[in-house]
Amino acid sequence: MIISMKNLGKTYKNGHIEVEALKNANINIDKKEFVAIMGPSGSGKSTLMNIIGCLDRSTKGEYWLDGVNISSLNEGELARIRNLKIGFVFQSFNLLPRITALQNVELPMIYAGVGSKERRRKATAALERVGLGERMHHKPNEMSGGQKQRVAIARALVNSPSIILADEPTGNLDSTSSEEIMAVFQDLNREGVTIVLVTHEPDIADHTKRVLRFRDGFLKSDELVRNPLDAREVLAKSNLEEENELEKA
Amino acid sequence: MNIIESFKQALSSLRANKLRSILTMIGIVMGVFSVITIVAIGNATQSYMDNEFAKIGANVLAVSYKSGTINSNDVLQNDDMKAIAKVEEIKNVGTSMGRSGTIRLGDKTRNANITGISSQYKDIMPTDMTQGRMINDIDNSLRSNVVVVKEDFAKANFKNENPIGQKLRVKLGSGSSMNLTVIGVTKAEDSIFGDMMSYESQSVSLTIPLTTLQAYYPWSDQLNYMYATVESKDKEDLKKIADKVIRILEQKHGNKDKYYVQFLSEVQEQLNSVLGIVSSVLLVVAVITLVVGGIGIVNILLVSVTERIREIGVRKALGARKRDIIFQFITESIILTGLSGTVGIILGILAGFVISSAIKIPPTVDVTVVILAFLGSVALGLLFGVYPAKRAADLDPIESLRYE
Repeated sequence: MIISMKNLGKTYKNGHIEVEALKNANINIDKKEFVAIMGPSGSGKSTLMNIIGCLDRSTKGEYWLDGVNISSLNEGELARIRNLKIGFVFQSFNLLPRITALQNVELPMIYAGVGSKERRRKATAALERVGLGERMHHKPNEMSGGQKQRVAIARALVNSPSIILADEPTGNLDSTSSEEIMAVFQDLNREGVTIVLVTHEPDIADHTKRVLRFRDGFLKSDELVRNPLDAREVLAKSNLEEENELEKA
Repeated sequence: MNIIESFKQALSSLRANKLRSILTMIGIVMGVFSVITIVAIGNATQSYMDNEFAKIGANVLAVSYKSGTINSNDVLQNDDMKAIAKVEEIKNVGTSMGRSGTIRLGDKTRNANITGISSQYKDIMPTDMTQGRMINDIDNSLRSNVVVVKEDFAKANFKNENPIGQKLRVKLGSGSSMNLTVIGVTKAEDSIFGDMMSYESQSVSLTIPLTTLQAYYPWSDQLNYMYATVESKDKEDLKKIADKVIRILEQKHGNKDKYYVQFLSEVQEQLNSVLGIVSSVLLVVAVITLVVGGIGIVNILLVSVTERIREIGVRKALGARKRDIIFQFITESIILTGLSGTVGIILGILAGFVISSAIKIPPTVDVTVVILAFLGSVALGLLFGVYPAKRAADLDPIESLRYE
């Protein structure tokens, strides 16, 4: 078990008003799973995501990540966990604009204290793994959205985390790029990487293996996806359609 | 994160805002520059003065009048020199008298400052000779019509001829004329202001025997000053000597409280303390500049923190601890001030050289001050970096990731 939550809750204090953003969540996620978290805004999915990512702490219950009781850790220890056990992928990529793709991917390893040669080697390997080996010396503003998100995925991968946590990773991408990014995630998952993905798009959730739905701070449903979409097949199909249309024309 | 990494990162973010970084640095550069320059000039002036005083060697005392109005009975005269020479601590006694006049050189007439000196004067205010000799005892007792000129005057007027034995015709302010024979040439001094004026605009300095000059003026064995040399520099001794001198003069003239004795060492002390005060006032101004520059650094780092809230959020999400963020911003601050300090030191030393060469004082570079200035600017970076760095490190990662 990678993630285990017992009666997890989170209450925010907004002045004198207390808001219960997450109520009594009991969630277990195993190694090599590919899970989507869905729900409308205000459903508690962002709160859950922040807690899973160790950016925030629960106010109730227990959260175990890869055998560590996260609820008992201090701020510095949380930073360490984020660094080594979690790989973040954000909707807006969050790459540092002034430095190259390679340097961006090296960043988590700098905080992990990896030596510079080893860093270069691992960062290069991670970028090659997401198919960006040739653009690693480019800066983010010289890249397309899809490419930026691949860099972000490489950065998330590079410390071999326990899970990859993706928050609306396709939210800023067109449908082809989205499909390509989902293909990268599916490949990684096939290779044994555990992925938790937050999305509000059912199409994207259909690429995962399991969907958790939230509403008003409660876990409403926890279902396996029967026939997950294969992003590569979707891409191949749409390419075929395009060719057909070209032929017709 | 190790030091090399954080230096690299800090440099890259400073480079990203080149103009801003440079403008911020200017404040610190100015501060350090002023500190270094002021200390350098202060030290140079100090050592120049010490040198000049050391040239005179033995301590010199000057006897003058206490008040401006002098009764004819109280006037110091040539034989007063002999009287005070009897004080056993006194080695040489001398005096000088200055009059102005004109000198005819070819078809031009130039102003002349004519100084009559007593025979022992040369032992009190030593001068280097390039040719010939200084005025001596015999010149004074014979009232010889001899003159000692300066090197630059000799060069300009006698060209390649030997100046010794040349005749000069000098007209005194009183109307009478003197025919003088050159017997010596004094070495040109490196004076602070001498070179600022062209040779032509300066008056010609002529030194002649005191008695020769006095002969042209009625009641002219009246003296304005008497100088004497003593060995001691001890304050108690000097006070005793001064008392003795004054007592002798008062007895001789039958008066009281008319004369005043001042020692060169006192003058030196006074000058040094004035110089010290001026230097410290300037230094305070320079340090204020430095602090203002430092506040500029705080300001710009705070702006930088606000601009990079998102970056800080990303770094935190990727595993940066508070201390990593603090370290990053303090490193930036230290690089800013350290670099500014170095530039300021270099400029300050250069300015010190330029200014000392302009005023003809040998430059002095104080290594301690240079090291202190550098360490000081690094410490300033540390001090001024702490607050912005803490602000950055305390940012909430969730909030900062959401920040637009």
